[in-house]
Amino acid sequence: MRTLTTITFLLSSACAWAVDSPISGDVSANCSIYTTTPGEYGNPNPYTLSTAAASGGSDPIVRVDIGSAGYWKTKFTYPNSFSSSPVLVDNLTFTGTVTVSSVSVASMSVYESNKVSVANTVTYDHTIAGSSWHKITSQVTYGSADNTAFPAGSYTALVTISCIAK
Amino acid sequence: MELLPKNSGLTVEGVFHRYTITKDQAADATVSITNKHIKSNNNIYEYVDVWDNLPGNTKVKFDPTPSLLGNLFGPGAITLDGNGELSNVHVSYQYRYDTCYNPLNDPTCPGFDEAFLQYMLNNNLLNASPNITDPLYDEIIQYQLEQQAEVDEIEAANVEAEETVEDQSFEDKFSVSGTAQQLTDPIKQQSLMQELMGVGSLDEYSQISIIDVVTITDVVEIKDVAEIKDNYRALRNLAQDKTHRRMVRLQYEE
Repeated sequence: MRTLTTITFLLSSACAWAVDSPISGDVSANCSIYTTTPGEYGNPNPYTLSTAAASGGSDPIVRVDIGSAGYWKTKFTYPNSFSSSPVLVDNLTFTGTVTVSSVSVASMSVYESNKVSVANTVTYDHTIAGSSWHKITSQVTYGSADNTAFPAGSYTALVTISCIAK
Repeated sequence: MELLPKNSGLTVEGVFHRYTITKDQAADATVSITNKHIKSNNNIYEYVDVWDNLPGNTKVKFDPTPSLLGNLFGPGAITLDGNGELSNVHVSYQYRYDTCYNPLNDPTCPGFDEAFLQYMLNNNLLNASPNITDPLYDEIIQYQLEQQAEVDEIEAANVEAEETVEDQSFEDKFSVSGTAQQLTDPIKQQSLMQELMGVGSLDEYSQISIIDVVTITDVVEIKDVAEIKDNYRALRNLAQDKTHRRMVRLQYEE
């Protein structure tokens, strides 16, 4: 019994019965999203917040870089609620849009006509490699009769953009 | 009008262009961004966007190019061929300037020595005998002498300053000004003693008792084992000294 144990130990220390040989590789991002212009709400009247420049706001602009054509979609969700705000007791009405504001390749201009809009979500199919800039607008009115003033304070709403592999 | 600076060694590395085209989607339109070659009618740079059957939009593009000599870039243009309208047009060039394209620009450039030598030779500035009748010659000599004198003065001042700094640092190391005053201050002394007592250093000393358990006995005995003789030479000297003193006293007594 002792001899058998000793032999087994020698064998196991001299070689291995199985080896895991790793194969490594890196995948660079083929779909990247950058905020090139942060958005800001203006307050043109007591019951409205708007990102429109005419209302004193700033429309956020997001750039999408696609490395490989035909593999990615992007989904934009403009706000339908505040992520942070003072206590609000009346109704809020959110509206918004997402448009292609600039393209790096002329043929990307079809993205706008080919986009799919459902509720507050807009989906683009990126069939061409390159960069496209997307402008988001957002407007909020407060009160059932559009005549209730927003409480004073800080308001924040989020636009969610995500890359979706096809 | 020059499109790019005429500096030698300037190379264009890319062209950035942005424009907005307004058109009907069904219309055909082609936008071309071009630069003529300075020495021919061909284009040294050309970028074409085809907008056939595409809706209008704003186009933003940075077009990297292989390094192109900037002084070959002629007049540039952005043109629309077809139906539509261009607005908000902006074209800019990214270029790089080689500061050592002419080695004489900077003594750190490779080949500066050779280029400088060639420049001196080309302008007859090397091995030229000075004209001693030229009144400027005397001024140049005087200027050089003054320059040398100034350099010597500066070096001497620097040496003196270094010595002063060394002396000061030496004095500072051994300086006790202020320290002596603190040592004679009874309050300082009291606090110092309290600190020493606080750490228990003196307590340990005071608590240590020395037990006399070791008895040292005299075990070495010195015996007279040799006969000590009188030093007759010394005694003779003493006798001579005594005689000498007596003779001296006799002189004063007489």
